[in-house]
Amino acid sequence: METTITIKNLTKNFGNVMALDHVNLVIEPGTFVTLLGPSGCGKTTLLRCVAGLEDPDDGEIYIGDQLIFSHAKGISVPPGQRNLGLVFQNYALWPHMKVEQNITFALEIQKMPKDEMKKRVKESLKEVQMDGFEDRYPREMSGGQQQRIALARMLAYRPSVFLMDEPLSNLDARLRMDMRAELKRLHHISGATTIYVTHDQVEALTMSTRIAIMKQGVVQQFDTPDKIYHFPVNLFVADFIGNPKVNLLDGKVSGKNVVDIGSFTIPVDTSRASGEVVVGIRPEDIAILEHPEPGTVEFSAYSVLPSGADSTIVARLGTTELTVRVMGITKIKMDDKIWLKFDAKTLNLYDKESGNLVSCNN
Amino acid sequence: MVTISINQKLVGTRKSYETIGGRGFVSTPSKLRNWKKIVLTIVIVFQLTVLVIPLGLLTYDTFLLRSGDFSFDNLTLQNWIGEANPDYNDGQPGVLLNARIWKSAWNSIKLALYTALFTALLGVILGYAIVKGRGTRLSRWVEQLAYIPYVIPGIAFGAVYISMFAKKIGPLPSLYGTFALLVIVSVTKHLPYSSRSGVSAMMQVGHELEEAAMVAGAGVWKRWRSIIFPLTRSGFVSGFLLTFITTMRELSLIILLVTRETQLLASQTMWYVENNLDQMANIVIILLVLITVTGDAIIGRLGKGSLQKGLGA
Repeated sequence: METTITIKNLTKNFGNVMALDHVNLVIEPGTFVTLLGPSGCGKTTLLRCVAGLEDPDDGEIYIGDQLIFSHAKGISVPPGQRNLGLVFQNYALWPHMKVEQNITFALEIQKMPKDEMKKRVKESLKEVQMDGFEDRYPREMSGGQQQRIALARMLAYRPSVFLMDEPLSNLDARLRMDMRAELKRLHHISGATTIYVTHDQVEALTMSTRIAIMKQGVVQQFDTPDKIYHFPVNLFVADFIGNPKVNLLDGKVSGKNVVDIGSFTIPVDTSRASGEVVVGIRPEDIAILEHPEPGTVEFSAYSVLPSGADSTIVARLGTTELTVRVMGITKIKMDDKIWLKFDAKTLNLYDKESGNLVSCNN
Repeated sequence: MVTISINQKLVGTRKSYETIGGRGFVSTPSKLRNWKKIVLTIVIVFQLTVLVIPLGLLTYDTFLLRSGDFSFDNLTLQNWIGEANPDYNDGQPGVLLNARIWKSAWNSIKLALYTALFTALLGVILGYAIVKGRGTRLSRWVEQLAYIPYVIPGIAFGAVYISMFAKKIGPLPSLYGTFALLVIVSVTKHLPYSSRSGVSAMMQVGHELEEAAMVAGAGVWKRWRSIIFPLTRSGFVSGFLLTFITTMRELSLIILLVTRETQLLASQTMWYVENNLDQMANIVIILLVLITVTGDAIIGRLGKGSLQKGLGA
């Protein structure tokens, strides 16, 4: 069940809106790839194009070696013949069928023998820990249970590709956590190549092998969660990923490896930068000291927000505001004087005009 | 046309809500508390005045030998089952003994069933097409077209069909005097209602339910049979019932089109009234009501099934 998905130059318009703009992605066999972005970025459209529920205006899609869509060659394989499973945001269980019928629907179409079908129903229900629910109607189950059945329905016919369209967004926060672990586990066991659509960055970061961040139909960055988080290729990705948000400071390259922010300077590799730049600093990459030291900058604690496992401190100097995150509950109080220390190795430098990453000290 | 467009603007552009999603739902009856008795009284009084009393009077009237004389010795069964007698009712036999009436009744039932079946089917298919293409010009156009018969008076509609089908014109065959023409005109006349109920039934079915079936490998026919049709069955049944009932009692539409062979119950009432036989006309009306109510009950019973169970209705 090791299947590569290759997307070439995929373009899709809805009227005047370009939902997909020459998208190219190679999704390696057995990986868990998340399409992440704000609403309207084209992530769901891309998924629906792979599923065959939407025909792109241009480009090609391969699943394994099979060309399943090509605008130029006029090929569009029907969804049912692409050997893929799709889980919908609102489960899309057929309300007039019992769980068993929901699961066997696809198997009947494949003309599977009756006893084999029974076995598959049992197995797939077991895999989602819903054994014994064969005779329930969808409305007789909770949202989380229905979503598990939707998963079982997909698992039962063993597709080589899993497609999931925000499958957890209708569940409450706690259930979502459990289901994340469950989904990751299912992917691990089945080894099916998975494309997962979400607007929830935590979901993307925790579950994916790789993340494709999209904006207005264009893939901004396709990389591992680690790279996406630590080395966003442009200001959009930097700003989109991370909670609390990344600190973005406007500045000017004022000397070798020095960026002038205005009221203070930050040491950073400027070998490939000049003129107006933006410095990106993750809140946890700033150290807070309670006493001055060489190379620190004096701020005052504007607001302190402890939340158990970590604390967020909003630091101010004149009009410059920085968000700093420290582990545990901090002893710092509001209006305390604090000294911030920047580590050149953790800073990213962006060109102000293009918004692109020019240097990252890794 | 203007009002249709306005209706489309108001209804069509608003966000529509799908109620049959992939998720279940629970019904919550509203509690009336103290209002219960008051509401109940109003409903009963209303039904008495508009339904029970008029129907009762109408029934009583059919047992009168001379219309308008409510005295006890004026009661008779002559209108119902009397042999033909030149002294009464212009020599017409009692309604139940009249072969013409039985034939008309059978014609009416046949017409209502055929019309209801075709109209409801067309309604669901039209509803599907309109909902799928929602927002496109073609979809709006189809929806408006299906609405046009609504604004044309029945009698004018009948007249149009007479001139269209009186003799063979080009590809149009001569259908005047045939039962088929009655079906065609009735189907067309009722399309506005059934396409409306088709649209609302389709709007309730989430599009991802069909998409899930597509991904599972179901072809068009399988999707209709297993998913779309079962889920819109209530829409189909209500379209069917509505058409069945209105076709049964439809008069103005078909009055110009019926011939000796294709008489209907509704047109028989007209004939009796024209001949000053009001009591007998009333009997036909009672027959009509009985057939309609019985048909309604049977169809309603047949229309229920796994859907109601699955949806908890």
